[in-house]
Amino acid sequence: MTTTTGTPILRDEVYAELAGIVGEENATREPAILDTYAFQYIAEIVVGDSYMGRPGVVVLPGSAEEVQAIVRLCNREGLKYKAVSTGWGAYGAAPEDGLVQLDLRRMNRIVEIDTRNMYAVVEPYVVGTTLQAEAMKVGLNTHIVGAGANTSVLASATSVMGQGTTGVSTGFSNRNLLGFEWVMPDGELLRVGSFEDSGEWFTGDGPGPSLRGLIRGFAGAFGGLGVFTKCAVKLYPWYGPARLELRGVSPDYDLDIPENHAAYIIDFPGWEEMKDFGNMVGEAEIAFSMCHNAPAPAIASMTDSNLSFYELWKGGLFANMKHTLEVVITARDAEEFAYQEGVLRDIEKRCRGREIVSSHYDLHYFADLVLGLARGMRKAGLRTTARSALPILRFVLEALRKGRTPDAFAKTLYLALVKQNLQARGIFRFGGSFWTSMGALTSWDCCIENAKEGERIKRSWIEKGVLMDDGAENAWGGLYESGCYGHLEELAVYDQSDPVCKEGGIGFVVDTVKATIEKHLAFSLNAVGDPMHAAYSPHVFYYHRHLAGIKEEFDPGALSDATFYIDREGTEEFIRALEAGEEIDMRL
Amino acid sequence: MLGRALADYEKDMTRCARCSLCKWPPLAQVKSIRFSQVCPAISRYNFHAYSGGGKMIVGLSKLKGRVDYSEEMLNVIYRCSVCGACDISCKYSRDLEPLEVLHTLRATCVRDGVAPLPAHRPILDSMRNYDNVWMQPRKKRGSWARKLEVKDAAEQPVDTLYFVGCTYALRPELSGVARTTVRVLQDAGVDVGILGEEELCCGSPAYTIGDEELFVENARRNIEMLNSLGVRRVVASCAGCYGVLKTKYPLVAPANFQVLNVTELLAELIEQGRLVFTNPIGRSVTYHDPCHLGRQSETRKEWNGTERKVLNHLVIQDPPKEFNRGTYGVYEAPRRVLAALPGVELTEMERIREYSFCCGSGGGAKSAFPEFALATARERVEEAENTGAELVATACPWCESNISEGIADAGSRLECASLIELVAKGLGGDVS
Ligand SMILES: Cc1cc2nc3c(=O)[nH]c(=O)nc-3n(C[C@H](O)[C@H](O)[C@H](O)COP(=O)(O)OP(=O)(O)OC[C@H]3O[C@@H](n4cnc5c(N)ncnc54)[C@H](O)[C@@H]3O)c2cc1C
Ligand code: SF4
Ligand code: SF4
Repeated sequence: MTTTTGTPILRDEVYAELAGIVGEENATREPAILDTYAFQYIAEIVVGDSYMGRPGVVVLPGSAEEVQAIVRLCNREGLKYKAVSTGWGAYGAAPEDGLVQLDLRRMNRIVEIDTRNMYAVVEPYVVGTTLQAEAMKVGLNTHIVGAGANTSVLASATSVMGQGTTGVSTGFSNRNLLGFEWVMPDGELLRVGSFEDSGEWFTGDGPGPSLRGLIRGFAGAFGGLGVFTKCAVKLYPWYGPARLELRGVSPDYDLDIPENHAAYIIDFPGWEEMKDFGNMVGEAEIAFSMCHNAPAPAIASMTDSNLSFYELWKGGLFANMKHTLEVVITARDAEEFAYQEGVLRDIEKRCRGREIVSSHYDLHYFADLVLGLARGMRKAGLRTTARSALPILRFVLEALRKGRTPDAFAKTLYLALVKQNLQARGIFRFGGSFWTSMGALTSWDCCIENAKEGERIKRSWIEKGVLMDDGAENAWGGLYESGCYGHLEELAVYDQSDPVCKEGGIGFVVDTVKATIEKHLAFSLNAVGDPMHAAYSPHVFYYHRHLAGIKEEFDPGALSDATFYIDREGTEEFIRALEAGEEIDMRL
Repeated sequence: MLGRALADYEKDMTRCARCSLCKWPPLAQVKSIRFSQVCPAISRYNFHAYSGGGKMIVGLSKLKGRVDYSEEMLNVIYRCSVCGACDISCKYSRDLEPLEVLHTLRATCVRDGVAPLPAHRPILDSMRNYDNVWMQPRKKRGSWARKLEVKDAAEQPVDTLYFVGCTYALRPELSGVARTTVRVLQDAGVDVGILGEEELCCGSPAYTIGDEELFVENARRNIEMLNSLGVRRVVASCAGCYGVLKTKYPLVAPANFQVLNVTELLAELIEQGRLVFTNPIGRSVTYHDPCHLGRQSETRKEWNGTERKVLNHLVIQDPPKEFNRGTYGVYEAPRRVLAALPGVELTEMERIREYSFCCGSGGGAKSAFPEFALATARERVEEAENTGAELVATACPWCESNISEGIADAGSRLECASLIELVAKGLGGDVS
């Protein structure tokens, strides 16, 4: 039986049982509420509409025991289920209607911050910004993914990706996972790592079972392997104040960058120099944060509306200043700061880098700014430079009128990189949505190749009118663990309310996936879901068989929705089609 | 905006990223996990639909015919204090209009005949029948000033009209604030008058509940009357009245007077040396920003332009549109007043100014969902207590009343007072 929109009706007895588990006010079958779980960003590319499937019911469990009871009930009744923490992105939903959606919003506690062993134990609804606020009070900090500080720390550590701009000093989310509490797909509860044995979470491996790799792998199971109800994440030293005090009113916040901290944007003559700089700074272990952000999102984050962005951007100068790295230094004391900045500037010199933004505004910076701008102008040509001059001058005068000092951009940059608060300006504000592609976790040198190829492919989709013209170069990413590896993904901005983008957007993704395979650019972050696995697996030892094996072993009934994880039959069908030379639909 | 349909916001609604940023203050302002939420509705009811972004989706689903009205859908739409915090957090990064969507959703419900809710009807009926929200005969509106010597602005020319508002005028437990306001202004030499029985409701409840027709009628009558008085400025001490007079009336008809909140006038008088404090207050104080004095007090400008796309898909507005992002709300004036009071030690709460946490009373929440309004007030009281202050000062009768209920319900030792009462104390005067 279905509703008028096709949603399968959950039997009244089952609904009553679910409501009994979580309490009446924490369960709903109201279509208007269910729809707010179906509407998701990128659904338009995944299923061709702003809405994914509408769940049959949404429940708000308050504890691991309640989650267990729900999962057991789903197993008994053969119902598909899926958990979300904050629920941002199509992968929190399923393409078809009728899912039992667990919204973990009520599980929102920081259970513990262990300052001696430097870790925190969190529930699913603890987000980057809340954990960071509490950690900073005790001199610690957390890895926050590039999505922003509004995303779940647990979801990122246990279930989804893990790239973030501070990766050079705070690693990748899966590497910070120190154990977890897991309601397995059959409803059994398992605690993994040292907690099982000692009650402390200092390591994810033994003496209890270690299943860290298994539940995550590269990308995570995207809700396809039960529900994680608690996890421990490693924390890192924070050499700043307990709280960053801001001045001013939204959207124009100002702050004093703490002593011995600094932020820079460094411009290079080309990709090669940028590559060398990244490798050297990573190796020198002096940066708190180091990432590449393309000029369009960088300028968007410094402006308060699309219109003010456009005023600055349309001249064309900035699109030519694209070989840049953003760096933040956070030193313990003046001596360490002097050392770190000294090393930075030495490497800068060797790589012909110019500080075009700096919080340390000394002679060196002003000289660099002039030379950096001159280099940008040379690349851009006389006409573009002339076109850009007036709007830039107006922008600078306006900033001065507001009482801004020359380090104003560095302050915004510092805030963005430390607090991870400006992502929505840099991507969503433009046209409404974005897709990302390429982005393998690989050597920094290979990352640069990803960026070059991504730019080339994107340009063709801009020319077709499908994507916003952000100058084509819109790679984003950085280095991890002192530069042992890195990632650069290619962001593509579009308007999800525009049919041209809805229909064409997938083409960009398909082209980039093909390019990563044909040009050996490693495993794209789009390797999620059956069609994508089918594209990659034959080139990577048929890895899908292992992934499917894990899924089948833990979830033989395939009830933990695996749309964005793996289904053996589905993947193999796509592989057969591809091997027969057929084109497959990459949508889910 | 007025007279808009959901279809006018289809693009805004479709472009919601479901990022949940509207559930928190602008992220860099989050200071602790305990006080990290900014939306009273989602804080209490938890389903995404209750957030600002959630209501964008509900609006889109309604527009697309995916959902139809139900009791629970109306709950989603009306269990919300229309505080606008979601709007500020979204607009920190985006060029979208969540608060306008929220208002248009309510207006659509009223146009479709499924709202006002039963609990709201008597309020609107009272506005129609008695020109006040408290179901009181018109004659009683002037009683608060019976023993005051103050000019009747309808009879004689005055420089400044004090617009008292229904609540200060008709709630005996709060009308002392109105008397104090007149005395303080007179002491400072302001040529102030009132309208007494002739004063009309400002229309704010009709606007927030979504009855645009009633609001426009009310606003028109008020603007006509106020214009006819020839006063230089109208001063309101109720944040609700102030907000609507300043920000929504310009959408209805032009006015020939300036609108001020009493805190702005007090700050000006202090700075001119016309109010000199002699009496130390001796209290540690925290200040609660009323939504309609703070983030919602920017004048809305009618914008009837179109969207234009450049660079293929960069969305800009033609002619340029000024988004209300809460930047120019009245945040500093009340703080300047507090700073001038001797013996007041101001300690700020974690959520302040444009990302202040609402008291819970607005948007018809108090009348239709009193338990929700009280829960919201309790949350604010806990935040105020966390500062260690003894007293919460504010500048709105609705906030004062609801926070006071929250204090009583929590069994807290905090006190809540209007800013003007502290000013009167500082002047050494007798309160009310
Ligand atoms: C704009 C944007 C940018 C992004 N950029 C990055 C980036 O730079 N780096 C990066 O690593 N990621 C990025 N992502 C993806 C991001 O990792 C996730 O959005 C985020 O880390 C996960 O937190 P969340 O709160 O969004 O999770 P949710 O949206 O709640 O969930 C994400 C997925 O995890 C599953 N899940 C969530 N909680 C649980 C749980 N408790 N148990 C089992 N499964 C669960 C869900 O089913 C879903 O499939 C981006 C996403 C967006 C929307
Ligand atoms: S309304 Fe704005 S902040 Fe809220 S979910 Fe939508 S885009 Fe995000
Ligand atoms: S107006 Fe206030 S209560 Fe209503 S959704 Fe927005 S933040 Fe929440």
